[in-house]
Amino acid sequence: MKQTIVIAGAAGEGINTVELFIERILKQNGYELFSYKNYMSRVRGGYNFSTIVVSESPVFATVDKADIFIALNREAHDNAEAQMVSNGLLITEERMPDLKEVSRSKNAFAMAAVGAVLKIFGIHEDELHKIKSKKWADDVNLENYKSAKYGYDQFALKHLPPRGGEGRILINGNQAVAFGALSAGLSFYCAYPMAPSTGIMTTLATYEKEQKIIVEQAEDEIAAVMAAVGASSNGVRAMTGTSGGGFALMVETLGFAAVSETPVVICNVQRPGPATGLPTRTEQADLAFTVTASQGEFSRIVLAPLTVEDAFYDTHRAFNLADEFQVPVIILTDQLLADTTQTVERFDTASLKNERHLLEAVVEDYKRYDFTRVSGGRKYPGLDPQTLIMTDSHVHDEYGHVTEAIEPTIQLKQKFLNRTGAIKSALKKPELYGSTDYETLFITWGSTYGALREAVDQLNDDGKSVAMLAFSDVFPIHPDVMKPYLKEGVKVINVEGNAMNQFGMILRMETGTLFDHAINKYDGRPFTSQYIIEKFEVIQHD
Amino acid sequence: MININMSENPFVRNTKTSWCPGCGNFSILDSINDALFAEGLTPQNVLMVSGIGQAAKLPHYINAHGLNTLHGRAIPAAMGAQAANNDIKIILTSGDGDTYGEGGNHFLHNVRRNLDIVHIVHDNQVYGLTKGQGSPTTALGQKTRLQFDGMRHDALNPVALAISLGCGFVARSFSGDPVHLKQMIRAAMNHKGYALIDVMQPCISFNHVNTFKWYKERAFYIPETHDVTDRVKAFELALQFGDEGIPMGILYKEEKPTFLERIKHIDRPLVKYERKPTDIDWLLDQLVE
Repeated sequence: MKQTIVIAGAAGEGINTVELFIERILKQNGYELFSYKNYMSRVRGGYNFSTIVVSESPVFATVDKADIFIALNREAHDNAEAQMVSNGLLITEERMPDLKEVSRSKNAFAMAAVGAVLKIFGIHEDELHKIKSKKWADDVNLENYKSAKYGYDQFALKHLPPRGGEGRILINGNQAVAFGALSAGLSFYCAYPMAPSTGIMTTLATYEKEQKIIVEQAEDEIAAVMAAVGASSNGVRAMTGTSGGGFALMVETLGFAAVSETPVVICNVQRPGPATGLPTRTEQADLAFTVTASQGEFSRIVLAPLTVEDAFYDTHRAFNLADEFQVPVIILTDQLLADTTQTVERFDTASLKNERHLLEAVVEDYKRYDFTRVSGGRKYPGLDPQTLIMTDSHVHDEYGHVTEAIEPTIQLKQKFLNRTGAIKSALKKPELYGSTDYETLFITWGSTYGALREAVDQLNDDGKSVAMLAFSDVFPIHPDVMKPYLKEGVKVINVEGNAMNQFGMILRMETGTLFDHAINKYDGRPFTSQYIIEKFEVIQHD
Repeated sequence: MININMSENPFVRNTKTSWCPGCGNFSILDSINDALFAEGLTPQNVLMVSGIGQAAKLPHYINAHGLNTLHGRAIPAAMGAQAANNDIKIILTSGDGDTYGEGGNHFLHNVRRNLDIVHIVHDNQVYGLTKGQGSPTTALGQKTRLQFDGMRHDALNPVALAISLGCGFVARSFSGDPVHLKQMIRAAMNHKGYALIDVMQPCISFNHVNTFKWYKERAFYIPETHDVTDRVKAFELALQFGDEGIPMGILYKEEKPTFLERIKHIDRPLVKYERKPTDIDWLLDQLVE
């Protein structure tokens, strides 16, 4: 069983509330969910929708056409046919003629729709009492319950909830990044609001007091990242988050973090560019920029979580890598991942370690920038009671003082080369998924994993032999990384959410791997497995 | 040069500098060294933060912790550094272009944030390291190595700007008057909150208008009758600059909660909190339900 629910209407009409109740109650009854928000860059009005894919087994991608369509207004009703499967179920106000007699609340239909969905998915009537919020007055909660009950009674049961689901959590990509940072011991988060990254800051601010952290809204992104580096230089784990336009402003500080060997974690939640682009839509088009941003040559790490779950673990790992190699680590997610809410296994915090790679003991003649040390051994002001630390942005000697001499200039560069080499060996290998004797190998990175994984399953079920190689650790790339996977006669298809095959380009540059075909998507909307399969079939027939 | 016993002051680094012989920076450096020592601080308790420019090289010439960042970015770096560990005293040293030009936005907003820092601006009314272009504080009409027919922009008045922003300590001093300068730095160090000292400093290489003599002839000490808590009077005084005389001393003073005092849930330096991955278990428990 796999059913897709679309809730459509204008901003401010309750899409989020309907979605929240449906997701929470279905999840509590053991269903697996994958939901994605499709919204316009405006505060009220417009045409927005959320897509919730419901199944008994984990879901990895969104779906284009709805089985159940909830139209919160006339425009949504008009769009329903185009967004539904041919035999889909349309839930509209017209189908609930007596609702006005039950409740005159402006939310009556939205709540009735929640009740309808719960009935269809076989949820027990008692669960309707969960449709309430502490934020609302008692009479509002009562009205909502009555409407939901009405909706519940209008529809017939179609599915039965699966057992299990214990220990599963419902979380979106931005929250997972925020939680990953908290688990890593984040102390200071400084950012400037920018869609679709703001959710990270909002999540952290929500728990600021309990976690004893500081979340600071900066005057601009230039300040945000520099403040994070400043905080890190004084010993705490610090982070910033933004989208492409804000990341463009942060670029000068990337090089500063690298040359001053100050760990910092930056999350770029990509949206389509260039310039203002499509503020609330999705794309994977900042990769080439991210791996080369800032003047000069230096070491950096770019991680692109494949899933919501990875967003948590990769963010945790980002902090350890940043501390180990004293480099900027950029986490590259996108609006799809940020606004995807998914049921995932409760994060296993007991398995995690926060590794700071510090040198706490007082040592004679400490060299903050020892040219031979590519990892660890860091001190910051106050770590020991004696050592003075100079953090510097120039070419400097091993103590951090400015120099223009030839020898340290070369040694600093060689240090970066050695460091990048060490990083390449420390990063995770790509995940191979699908048929072991594959004839086609898809290559992808980041959030496109989900749709491609489902496409691979479907194609193999249909008798094809395909596999995918998914990269979460996208930069730097080890030159031998592709060797185990490339075989005679295997067709390589590059799949990514941009027009110019940016990861394919990096892979070719670093490993010499060529792809035979490419499947791209650059309409601001996420990949679906169906889209990939259709494109694959076109390639097969060529 | 101030006559202090160099061997006793642990901040004195006695290193070669890349400043021009006779530059006002030397006197500012000596005054900072002297003030830090006089205030009973140790190098381990002090972080010198700077951006880029001739003035911004100063952290390399002091025996203390240093954070030499990028042009214009000293203030946000100081903000983060302070958030992480406010046990360390932060002195920010930067030029007029660095502070009021490239870093202008940071200056505005960190005065609002009320960082607890001493910010010493080496204001020589010209760009030095890039060799003589006009700065935000160069006078309208003044000829430079780039503005051949004279500056086309009105000059920015740093102390008036700071007072208008509600900066809690606004002072002006002169590198040619080290006794006064040291006194101002010590007063700023004892102020809780953002303390700005705009230091008039002759650039002997590129500014042939605002010379030592030019400042000396115009500067006067603010009379003791001036009420430093009267913001309107302070603003009026701040507007005075140039041939009409240049007031020197504390123009405005107001105590108010600092950046970190406004964050009530933090009761010690952030760097001292112990953190571990399981700290979020209570949050995950909420999500399981």
